[in-house]
Amino acid sequence: MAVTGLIDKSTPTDKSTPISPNRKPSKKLERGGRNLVLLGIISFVIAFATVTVSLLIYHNSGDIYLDRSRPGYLPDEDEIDDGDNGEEDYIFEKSGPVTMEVLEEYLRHLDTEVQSIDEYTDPFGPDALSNSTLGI
Amino acid sequence: MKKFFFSLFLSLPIFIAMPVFAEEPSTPDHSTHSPTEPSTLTDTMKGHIVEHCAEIRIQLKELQKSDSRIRVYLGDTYDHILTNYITPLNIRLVENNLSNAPLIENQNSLADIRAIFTTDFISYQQKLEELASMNCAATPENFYDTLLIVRARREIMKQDALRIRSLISDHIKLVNDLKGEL
Repeated sequence: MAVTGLIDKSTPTDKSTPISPNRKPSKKLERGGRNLVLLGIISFVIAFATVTVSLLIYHNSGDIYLDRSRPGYLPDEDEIDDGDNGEEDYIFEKSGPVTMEVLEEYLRHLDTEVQSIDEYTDPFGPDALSNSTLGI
Repeated sequence: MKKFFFSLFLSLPIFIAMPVFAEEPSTPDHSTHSPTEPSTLTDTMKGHIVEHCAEIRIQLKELQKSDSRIRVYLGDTYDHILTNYITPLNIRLVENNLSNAPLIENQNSLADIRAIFTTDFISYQQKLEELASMNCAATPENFYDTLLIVRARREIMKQDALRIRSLISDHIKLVNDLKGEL
């Protein structure tokens, strides 16, 4: 008796074989691939736009001029460390008695800090932009 | 239709994100010049600018860097003095019922000028960068006009530094007076 409608499972089926010879399953793959490419392009454009805006804000706001990570725009080591500069560690205590000795010590440490400021004899002086300096 | 909304969505961040500009200098900005520096550009000066444009731009770039280093160093020192000396001293004086109004006023003035110092520096550096980027060989007149503005802003920076130094000296004098009263 012929048995119809039963699939002979002992025989491996070819999955690549289309069920209907008229349908193109690769159309789905094509659409998916195109969407993926489109997603990549969109992501790139958004990233590019946001980075551009961020850099514009960074520049226009002036933060770039305060940025201490720019190479060459930080003081050299010899400009910071003037030999034995332990004043950076000194912090005047917020609590405690106020006596003449305390104030003398305070002024002594403060004087060292002030001397470091005074080493720049003419900060932002006019000479650097004078006609003679620039050769105008 | 989809494409229209899509491109509109992409362009939104560019229009929404408004750049924030640095504040203008605290003092009126006007092109001042030292008595020894001419405010008008002579033909000789124009010739020099055109001839030495490349060297001038290099000098300006180096000046940018050196000014930045000075700003960092002075700014750090000012902050250090304000945070580790003046402010704790005033707090301690209050604790000991020795509150001194001139000292507190001095502290507030110093903090204000310190903030102005930073703002003015940004303004100065913006103009200096614009100057260093200009094609001085092509437009020496514009270059010199911008140079005058940069000089004015640099002078403002100098005055800020002098004011801060003066306030620190006032502080030291006040502390010496206080020491004499103890």
